[in-house]
Amino acid sequence: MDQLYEYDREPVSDKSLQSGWRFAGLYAGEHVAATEFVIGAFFVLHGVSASDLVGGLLLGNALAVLSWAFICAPIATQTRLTLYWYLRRIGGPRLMAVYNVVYGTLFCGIAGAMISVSATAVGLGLNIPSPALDAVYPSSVGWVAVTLVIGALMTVIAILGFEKLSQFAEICSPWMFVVFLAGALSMLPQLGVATDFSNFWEIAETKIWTGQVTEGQEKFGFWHIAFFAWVCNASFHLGLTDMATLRYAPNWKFGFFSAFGMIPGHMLAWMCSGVMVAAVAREMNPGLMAYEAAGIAGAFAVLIAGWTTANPTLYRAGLAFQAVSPNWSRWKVTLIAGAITTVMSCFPVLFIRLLDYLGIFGVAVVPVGSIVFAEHMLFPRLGIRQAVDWLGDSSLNRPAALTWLVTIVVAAIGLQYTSIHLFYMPVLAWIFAVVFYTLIRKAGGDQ
Amino acid sequence: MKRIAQLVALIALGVCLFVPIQRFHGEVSDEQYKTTFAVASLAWFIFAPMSLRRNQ
Repeated sequence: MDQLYEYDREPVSDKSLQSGWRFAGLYAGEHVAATEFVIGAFFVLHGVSASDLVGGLLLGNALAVLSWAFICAPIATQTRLTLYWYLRRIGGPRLMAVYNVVYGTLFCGIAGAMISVSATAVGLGLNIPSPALDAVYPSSVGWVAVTLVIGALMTVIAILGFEKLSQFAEICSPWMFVVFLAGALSMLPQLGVATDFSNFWEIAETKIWTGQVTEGQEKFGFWHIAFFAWVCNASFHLGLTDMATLRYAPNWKFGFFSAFGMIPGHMLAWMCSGVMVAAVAREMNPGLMAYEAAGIAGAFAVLIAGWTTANPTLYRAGLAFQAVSPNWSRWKVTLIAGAITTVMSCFPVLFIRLLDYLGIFGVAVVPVGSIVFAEHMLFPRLGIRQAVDWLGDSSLNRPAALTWLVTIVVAAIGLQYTSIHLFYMPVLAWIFAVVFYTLIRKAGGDQ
Repeated sequence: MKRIAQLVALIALGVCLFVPIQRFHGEVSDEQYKTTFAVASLAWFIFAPMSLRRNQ
């Protein structure tokens, strides 16, 4: 990843463009991760039916790939810049600074959830119970101790050996996918699936994705699944943070390589973790699920999946914080990101409510992607003067800041006072921000 | 050595894939499946880095 960020403030040169295989590997590795153990299992607990699951995942993942290909990749390959640097030119240094703090902090939350997932595996060996489904605060001293130790270790290793752990993560990637497949396959006989798969769909409908909601969980249907699959990485595609990766693509069509992450990760791995949780009587404990499904190797998979997912996440959060304080060394910002992450990981609500957290993450950051999209793709066609032409030495693009703020306030009001589901909101927020920003800029809001 | 490490790593990953299929068909016990899976996983983590290191 250090190599990927070598051009952090300048366009990527032609000699550094990457092959399709590199992108396929990158996406496959990134989207078969610890979160998959949690997300697929929660779909079962939320009472989705088998047909809604399959249909929703097909539609949602297709929309996600299209968002990468038609929104993120064209801007990335035309500018060859990271979002951070392009946003600095469009929104000014102050907007970029605020964005980086928000983005970095939210990313710490995801890394914290990954530490919690790892803690469920370690907790198995130490007899520390996994938090209940309604847990918000730490459930025991043991849980706090385990998360703090894992968080501290992850932080130290992220500081000392980020590159080594990245290489380790590359090795883990194919094996991790095999763990999902193996875990699900080995659990199918326990659920009653015949060896010729003749009754698979019947078992899927009656014992796995039964449509029955676990107590205390919200009922999910087709559209919940479709929109979640679309927006769970909204910050990457609609929010444009994946410009950091796709600026190395020879052309915009490389955005379609995101399918190499969506199909194995956000289709198969989610379905496999659904099978695993159904086979352990819907107990939401990733460590237990994997241990029952694949023995000690499965528990190890959960531990290192959390670790290898948290590592680049900590790195990204550190990069975001470093953009705000460029004089600080990398180890110092990683230490700060690690400390925030470790404290957050003590609170099980982060992984228990991971689906909601990803939705909130999307709502918070996609308006910035909307602003960049409007500036780059729409304004030249609409004859609106682009911010890069008038911002000059100004430190803040006020219409952009207003757009971001208004969008978040409107989204919060919408979530509070209407029946619009959180999973629909990132897409609505993205559309609203594009329209709002275009209108106020069209009305002459250059200052 | 490079080719051997690559080959062993691939075989190990293949075993990781094959043994749950055997488990699914009831050809091995749960304990045999989990032990074989763990050993094959260990082999993957030993030989895959060796083959990668030699590629650089």
